[in-house]
Amino acid sequence: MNLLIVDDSLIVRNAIERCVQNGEISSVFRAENGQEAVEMFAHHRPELVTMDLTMPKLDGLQAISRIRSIEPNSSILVISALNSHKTAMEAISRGACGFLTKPFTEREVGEALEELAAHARRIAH
Amino acid sequence: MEADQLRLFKQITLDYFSKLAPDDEPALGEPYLQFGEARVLDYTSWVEIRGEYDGCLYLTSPTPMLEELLGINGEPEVSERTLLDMCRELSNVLAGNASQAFGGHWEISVPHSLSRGMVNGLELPESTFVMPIRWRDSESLLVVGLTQPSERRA
Repeated sequence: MNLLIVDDSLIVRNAIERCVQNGEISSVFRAENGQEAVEMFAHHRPELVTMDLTMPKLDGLQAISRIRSIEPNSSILVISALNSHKTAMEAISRGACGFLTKPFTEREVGEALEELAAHARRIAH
Repeated sequence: MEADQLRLFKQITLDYFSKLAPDDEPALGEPYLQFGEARVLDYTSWVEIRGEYDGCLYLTSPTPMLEELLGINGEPEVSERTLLDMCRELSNVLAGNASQAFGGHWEISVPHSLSRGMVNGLELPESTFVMPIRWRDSESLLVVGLTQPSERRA
């Protein structure tokens, strides 16, 4: 499986990538805004995506909608500082399958990525 | 800006450090009203807030605290770009984590880095508070100013 990490913060992108311990993830791609994320998704078609919400050019909610229109079965985990129930429900309604609030620990991201990969496996079968 | 909003930002700040540095809690100074020229440290990041309340939050930090924060975030690179990014990301998290308390009627902008001159050129709400955050021998300032949109129009 391939993973696309989307966040406008370099240190957050680095932190998430360090948490990738899942042996199933063979390649990691990185995007720093929603527009770049949609372009990279269309090009590489990763099975897994982590998505920030507050980003320049195109925000995460819009990017989720566009990615899901390209691939309705994509597995998307939102990782955002916005922690309201309303925001989480909006992300889920657009097609995200998980929500993790910043700040996060490496263990939390590792576990969330495991769940995301399991979600992708279920869809593939 | 109300007392319960100040308590909220105090708690969000404490929660941030307790999660990433559980054995090293920051000391939060008593918030005070900002008057006159703003105190500006090495790096400053500003977030605009819209929704049930309008206003802004900005964080101004000295380099040593940002270096320590990069460490607890596991970031090995200490450079101009990561120090700027750390300041931006912390302001994003502190502003974003308030959304739960406002039931989601809380929109935040992408964080922007500000120069010293830009900080003093900001138009801040009348009741803008400064909360000192002392941690590992250095001090950052969290500055929050909120008004209800109806107050602003009055």
